[in-house]
Amino acid sequence: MRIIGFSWEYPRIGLQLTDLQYLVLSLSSVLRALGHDVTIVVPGNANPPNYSGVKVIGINIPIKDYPNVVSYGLSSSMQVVANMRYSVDGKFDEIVCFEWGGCIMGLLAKSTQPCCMGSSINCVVLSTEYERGDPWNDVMASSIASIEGWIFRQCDGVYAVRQGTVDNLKNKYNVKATYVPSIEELGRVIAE
Amino acid sequence: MRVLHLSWEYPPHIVGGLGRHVYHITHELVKLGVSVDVATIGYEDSHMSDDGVSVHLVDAFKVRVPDFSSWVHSFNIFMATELSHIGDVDLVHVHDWLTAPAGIVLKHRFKVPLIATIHATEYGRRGGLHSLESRHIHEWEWLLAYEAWKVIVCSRLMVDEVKSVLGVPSDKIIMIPNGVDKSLLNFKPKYERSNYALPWELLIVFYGRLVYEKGPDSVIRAFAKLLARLGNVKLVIIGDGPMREYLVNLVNQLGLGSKVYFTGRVSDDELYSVIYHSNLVILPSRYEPFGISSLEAMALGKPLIATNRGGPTDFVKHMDNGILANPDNPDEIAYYAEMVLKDEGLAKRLGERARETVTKGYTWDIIARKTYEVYKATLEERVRVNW
Repeated sequence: MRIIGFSWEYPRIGLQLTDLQYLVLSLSSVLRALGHDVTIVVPGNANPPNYSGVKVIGINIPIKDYPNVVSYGLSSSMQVVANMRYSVDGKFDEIVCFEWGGCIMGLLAKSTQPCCMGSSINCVVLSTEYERGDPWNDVMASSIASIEGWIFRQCDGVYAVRQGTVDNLKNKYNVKATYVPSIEELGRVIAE
Repeated sequence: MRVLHLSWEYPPHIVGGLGRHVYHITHELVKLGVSVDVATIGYEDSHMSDDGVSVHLVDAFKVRVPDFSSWVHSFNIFMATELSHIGDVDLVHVHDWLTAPAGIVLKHRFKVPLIATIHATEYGRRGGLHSLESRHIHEWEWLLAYEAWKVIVCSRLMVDEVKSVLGVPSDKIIMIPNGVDKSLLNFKPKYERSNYALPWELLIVFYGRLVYEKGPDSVIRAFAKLLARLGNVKLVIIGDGPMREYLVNLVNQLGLGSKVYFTGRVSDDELYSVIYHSNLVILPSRYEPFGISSLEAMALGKPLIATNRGGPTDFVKHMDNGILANPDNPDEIAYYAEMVLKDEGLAKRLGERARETVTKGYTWDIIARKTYEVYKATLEERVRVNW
């Protein structure tokens, strides 16, 4: 199966590993180990070394200044998807997106990119804004929560590695998510 | 030829001149045989036909956003996903940065040339880039110009501005002015003159957004000087904006009292009726990429004192079809106003020549034909390019 992933981040040598980077790296390695062809698309110029046979493609985003994280998330996704067709070959069977930023890219790619049209789209959620921030009192958190609710509802499948996140997705966003206890199992479920 | 226009404004949703521009140009392009789609914002995803123009309304309020730029990006995402499947588009035509993200995505989706009309720049509007949001908008304007096959601007001022501010190469820039609706040339007033001035009063009109760059304060200061010399004058200020309270205070401080009438926002019919009844129009903008308002006064055959900066200098010839004055010099404005109001012959000649100017080069059918030529040339170039 050919799988394409979208994420804001991918690990880079010499930099501290974030939760999201760890998730993207480990899931893509698991998918590769299961014999799938895996490509990960991230914003930025850097094309990291080929870890475990996973192809990582950095798409340059020319806009450098953003008033806030929401503007960055929405705006950078458009820039990545606009130019990805010149860097990505062939057609993909499945799209895997990480967090809301990756989901925006994934949805845009599914709608506008010949390589992704007709692919199923699955989203992996580390945590919701209800766990990270305070959407009831903070404008930025409220906006991110609203975007998360909208974008996760567009996906064919939503997966989380914590039961609390699954509960939030159901109770706050009305999104039916699947709890997957380990990255290995997540890889198997997504590639089913 | 099928062209997809992307604009955040389209009637009835109009904020400034952009919506009118897109409305008129698309309707005239249809008359030239172009198949035109317009994608614009709405309150639900829907589609309608507007006199041959296929209008795609995209719900722009699906998510909550913290600020304007985030909202712009959110509706661009909705626009790109909704329009990606329409197919068989030959050109994508974007109006200003507000629909640039969707335009750029769709350009690469369809592999068709992108035409960008840049009506104004963030740098010009704000007199520089003073905030993070301004820099963000400026960078999107740059990216739009970079991705565009051709960049259309409306005046010589804008040619210079996109060259210097956005670094657009000269061979990419095409200057096509804005226009006015032909029906304005035969306009019949629907509101009485007596609503605005007494029979013996000479009526002076200013209209536009009440913001610093449009120069309403200069009109009031010039009017105060004029009133000291001619008693029988009346100033009507049409429009609204953040400067209104300041202007009302200024009028009171200068002791102009009942001689200045603020109407607030009015309908197009009322606006054109007041201009029609007026003896002089004064529009001394400090920043004006084109100046469609000046052109409207000229179409109605009125003597006009326009700004000597920016767009109006392209079509107003001093003392021939109008008057050009320094917007920061109320003495100069008052001097010319007195000259026109005291000399009926001069006023009549300026008005007649102004109408001639509009008829010969500034109606939407002429503007649309020029745009059509740009489309044709671009498509001919596209055929020769391996993309």
